Amino acid sequence: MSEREFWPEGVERCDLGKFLAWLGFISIFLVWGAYGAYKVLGTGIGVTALDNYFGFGLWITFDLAVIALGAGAFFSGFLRYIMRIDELKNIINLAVIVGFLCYSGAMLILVLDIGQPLRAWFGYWHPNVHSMLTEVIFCITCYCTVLIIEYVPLILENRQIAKNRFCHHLAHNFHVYMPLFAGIGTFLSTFHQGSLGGMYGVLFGRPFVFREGFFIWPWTFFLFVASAIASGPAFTMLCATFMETITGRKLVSYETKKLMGKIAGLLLCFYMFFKILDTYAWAKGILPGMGLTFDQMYNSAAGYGKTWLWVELFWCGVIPAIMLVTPAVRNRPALLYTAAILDCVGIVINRFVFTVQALAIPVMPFDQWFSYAPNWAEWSTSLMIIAYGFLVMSLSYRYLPIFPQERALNR
Amino acid sequence: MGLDRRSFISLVAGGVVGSLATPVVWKTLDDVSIWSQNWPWIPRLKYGEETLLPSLCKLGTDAYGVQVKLVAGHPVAAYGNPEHPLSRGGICPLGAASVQLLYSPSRVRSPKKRVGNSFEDISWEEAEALLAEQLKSAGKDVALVSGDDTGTAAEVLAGLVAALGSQQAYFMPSEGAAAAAALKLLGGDGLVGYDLEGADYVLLLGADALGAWGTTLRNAKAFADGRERAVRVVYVGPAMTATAAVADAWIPCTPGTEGVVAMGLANMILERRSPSKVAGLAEFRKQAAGFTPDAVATRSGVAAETLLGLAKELLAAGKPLVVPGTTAAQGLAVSDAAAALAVNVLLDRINMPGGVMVLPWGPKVVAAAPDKKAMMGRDVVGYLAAVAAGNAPAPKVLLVHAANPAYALPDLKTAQTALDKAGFVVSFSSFMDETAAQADLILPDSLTYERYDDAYTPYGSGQANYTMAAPILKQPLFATKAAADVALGVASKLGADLGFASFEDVLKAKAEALGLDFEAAATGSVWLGTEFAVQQLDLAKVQAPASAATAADLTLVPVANLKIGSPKVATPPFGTNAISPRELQGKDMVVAMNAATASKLGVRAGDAVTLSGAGGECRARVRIFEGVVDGAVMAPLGLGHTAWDAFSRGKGANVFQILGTQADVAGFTRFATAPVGVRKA
Amino acid sequence: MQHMEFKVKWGMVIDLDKCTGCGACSIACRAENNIPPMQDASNKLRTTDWMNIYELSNGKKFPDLEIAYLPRPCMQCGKPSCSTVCPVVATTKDEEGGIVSQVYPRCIGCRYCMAACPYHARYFNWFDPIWPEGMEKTLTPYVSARPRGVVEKCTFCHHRFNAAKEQARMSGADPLDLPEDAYIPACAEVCPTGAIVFGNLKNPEHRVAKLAASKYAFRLLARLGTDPQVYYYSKRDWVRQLGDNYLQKELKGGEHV
Repeated sequence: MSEREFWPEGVERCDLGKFLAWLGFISIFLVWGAYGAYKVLGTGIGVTALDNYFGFGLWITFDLAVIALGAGAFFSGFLRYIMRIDELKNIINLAVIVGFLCYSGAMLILVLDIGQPLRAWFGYWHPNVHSMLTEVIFCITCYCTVLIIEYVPLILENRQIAKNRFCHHLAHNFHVYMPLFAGIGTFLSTFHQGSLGGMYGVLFGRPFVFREGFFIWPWTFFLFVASAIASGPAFTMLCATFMETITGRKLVSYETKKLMGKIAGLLLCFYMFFKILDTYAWAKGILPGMGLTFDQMYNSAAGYGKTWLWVELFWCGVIPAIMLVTPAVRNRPALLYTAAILDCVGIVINRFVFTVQALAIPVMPFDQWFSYAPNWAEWSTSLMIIAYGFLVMSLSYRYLPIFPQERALNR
Repeated sequence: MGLDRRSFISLVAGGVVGSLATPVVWKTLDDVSIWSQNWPWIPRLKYGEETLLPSLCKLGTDAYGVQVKLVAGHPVAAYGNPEHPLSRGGICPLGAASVQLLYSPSRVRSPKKRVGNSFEDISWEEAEALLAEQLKSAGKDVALVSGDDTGTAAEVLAGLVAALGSQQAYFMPSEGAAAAAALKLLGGDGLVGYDLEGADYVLLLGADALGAWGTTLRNAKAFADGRERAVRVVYVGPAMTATAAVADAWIPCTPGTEGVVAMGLANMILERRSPSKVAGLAEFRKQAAGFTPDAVATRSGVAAETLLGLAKELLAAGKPLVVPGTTAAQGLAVSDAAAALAVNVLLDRINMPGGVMVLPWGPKVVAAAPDKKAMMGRDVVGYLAAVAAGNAPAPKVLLVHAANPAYALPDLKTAQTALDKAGFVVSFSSFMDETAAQADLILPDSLTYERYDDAYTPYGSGQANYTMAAPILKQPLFATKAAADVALGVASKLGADLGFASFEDVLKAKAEALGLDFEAAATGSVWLGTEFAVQQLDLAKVQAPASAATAADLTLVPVANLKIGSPKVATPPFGTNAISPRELQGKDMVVAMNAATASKLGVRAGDAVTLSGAGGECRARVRIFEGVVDGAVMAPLGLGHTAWDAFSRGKGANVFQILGTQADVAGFTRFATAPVGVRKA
Repeated sequence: MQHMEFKVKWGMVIDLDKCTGCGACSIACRAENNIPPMQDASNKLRTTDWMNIYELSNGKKFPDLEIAYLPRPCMQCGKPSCSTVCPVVATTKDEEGGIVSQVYPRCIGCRYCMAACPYHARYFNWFDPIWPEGMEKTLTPYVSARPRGVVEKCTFCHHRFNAAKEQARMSGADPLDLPEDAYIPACAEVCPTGAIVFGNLKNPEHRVAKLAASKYAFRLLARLGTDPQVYYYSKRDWVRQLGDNYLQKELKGGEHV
């Protein structure tokens, strides 16, 4: 049986040699990252550039960023299966895989990031119901399971696997129950996206991130949900475009992309409105209440200047929001993609400053600013996760029918 | 019955599900918390009966009582001894790290003989035979340098050297010696002490009393008690030391001009009060008259009105006390000490409650040994300089005891030259210090916790005191031996019997001489002297102090810091964390100067600089610190070790390398400050 | 997490006008609590110092500069920012006496508590502990050696509290009404100037209670709402002002200090 027999029906793929070479290239990063992971697990997290001031660094930023960007999965699922926006069926499979990669990747990073990975499951065994992180541990692991459940039928749809009657029926049944999983996923994902924000918002010892809120949730809870769903769809759409560029094949219709852009744009407008309100209230209310000023939260010499804030809120917030809700902009691919990229970058900056800058700021008046720069151990392992994403995505693209429009678009 | 595939799978699945229903799996999982805590490479705790035994800490320049906690016979921690008058429950950074220091990687674990460029472990028999042989062939060309100026061990070693016919027995430099020399200059005789507990106003002229000067812990307790009684403490000195940070006032002065300030105060006091019964007052008045407020202000940088304020405070106080000293806790000019003493005399503070107390020298029990008074009157810096210059014969055998002269002497290059010239250097060091590393023979001394030790009236004590420490360990941890026992053995081998079979016997004799029960002393009972020798002081002998390094634009102010170490020990393993980035950054020593000085020198915070002084150069990084007078560079003492272990080696620079010396009165050398050059590295 | 009130509240008052920054407390703490020595301790963001000493300055030029040393143990906050966020209940404040616990075998090493603590009182074990050969024999029997990957912090020498309670029970006394000297952490015990005073903040007879009530007493970052059980004391205005963040206008009004 030729390898071609495993491809989805009626599509063209590059020859096997080229594909293997590509996998070989990806493996370089996997191997380097594996070495980094070996050092981290073997000798201790001391091999990273993390320290007692910056207990959170690149890894947590990376986790938060990919989880936010991976929100395309749950939110597209929600719109597709619950809100019945049918157009999204063209991209929902991709959204699921991207989501799966983001979440499983984040969990792999967490295995390295916690000091005692053998005790990772203690969150279940000895949960602290008051901790936002407990909620995150619960929801992320559950949601990752949901994503696996959503990913499995895609695998089962491989041409050869689907020949097995059991697999075929299983896949079919999964699809029937998909709205249920989409619902569960939406619930779980909303909660943990929120809890991730809540994790920071409750830190009353960290004036940069502390927020008041609603009931038990600080405002960051809602802002993180909003920012995730405002960037997730944009990221999924960018992934599709990126794959098209690499493969040279049309995978998703531009109409679908525009729709994703529109969804992201509307949500980004919603998010930015509240984010700006929140920032203002923080600067004018919370900080003075703690005896601090807005200026004291920034220090460009240490690398945490106000530039980050303006870039995040204006260039990567307001600007892409306006662009994405403007039909004329959405109609021009270059502008649509630029706006989507800005949107994603803004959310990554948001996660970065919440994670790193929050810890860099001296809270005790006699303390000082410190800077943090990740080292090879953190870069290599983070790149490994990206490479892992490329690997799974490459295999999925080659062997699984994830783009229902592909045949038609490339006819 | 065969096992088909289906039943095999059922069995496995059933087994898995079944075992999940038992506690085995869950218990095992929960046990992760236990075994992930107890990897084989994580040391286990040992439990057992806990005991507290009294001992001594002599790692710094003072000596005070500690309590060592033992668990099942193993020492685990040292605390201050609330019963000891010089500790009163406090402990210094070196004492706090002393138990762990027993296992320091730099401990010399057996005698060693030099073979070419390295050492060879030898047995004690061989080592002692080698020592005897060397001493025999050296005849009377033998010298001793000891850093233990409170203990009887030095008396035994000095006795050995004297019995061999040599007068060359020296102590390492100390402020006690300079103060005693000042007292002698004025016609007095005894150890100088300060009744800090009794004073109601304390003027510290350079003495970093809460840093590393004198009886540091006792000073601290007296200071704390004084706070409750509103005792005013004023610190005069070139830098914001530990003492200056908590004193009621810091009065900055040009480095090395504390003596000038003292003379200025004397002048002002004499203008306001003419004391009766002071011998040599007329001559002294003439001397002091030169120290007008303006002249003092010019030389010391202390404004005339500030000086006047101090004089008035001294006169107004009921029990004022003026204490001379230095930030380096050594290298004090005898003339400065004499000037401060003179102020105390003018204020009638000698042998008065809360004043300067003159304490007896203490009994000598090794008949052959030189008097401690004589030994303290000799200047090791001058002796080694003479040896280096060829003005004095180099000893054929040099014994080094409880001291590290290859690291901790000013004008270090000269001292090194003298050590190189010595025929055969014997180090009794417990640690592979710089001197041991270049010695020909190392006879590792046991540490205090492993042997008998004692201390008689460390410098600064307000009354005479004697503390003995019995070994708290049944036997030394390694193949080490008390230096005094080695000396006694070798003396009898050479036919120069010192009259004692063991150091324990020497201490028994000492206890007896003090009228103290040996058993009581060995279990922590402290002897306190209540006699203060009547003094007939004559101010005519006071010599006007010169400012140190008067010609220099820039002066080095070395600050002793017990966190970093002492002249005897490098940073102990448990001490590294206490060293702050204000003293050490990475591998660079940090020197402090104020912004005005820095801008004059064209350097900025964080700049790497080269410091140059007599005998050498060293590297440092600049810290801008406004707690240093103009034209001064403050540097931490105790860094820059080249021997020892990874906890101290290669960290920062040794300030002694660039610390020049200046001739002083009474044959002493002053070196508490020295000219220095600074340029960008 | 619910705020618990205790009958006994162990607390400290550190007199910053007496502290010389000598470091003895920090080293004694290290020995008492089996914190391993570090060959290279120059990167202060990586060292473990349960009792860390900061240098404070009034920021003035020579000769008006003043400095003060501030030893910083765990504040044993009344409303800890750390324990509420721990996902696995490895750190709690639920024992009589109000000491914030730290359970090493429970800790998963997520470091969320470190992010939460504005005092930097929490330390992570970046590597496995190493004692030079033989030095492990000096480990005290009080605090187990921590493996890599867990967070640790000052516990007010909790083992001494246990010992004092045990002693009281044996002698028939009330373990919840310990006399002032029955229980003292190592740092307070060895402080040469007696700058660290320890006792029950709720017992008006104890020196800490009196000192904490003084107008010269203050707490670090009290306005964040952490309610620390460690008080500082200084008669110097500028020192007290450095205990918390104040806006310019507040300092002019002076009402908070």
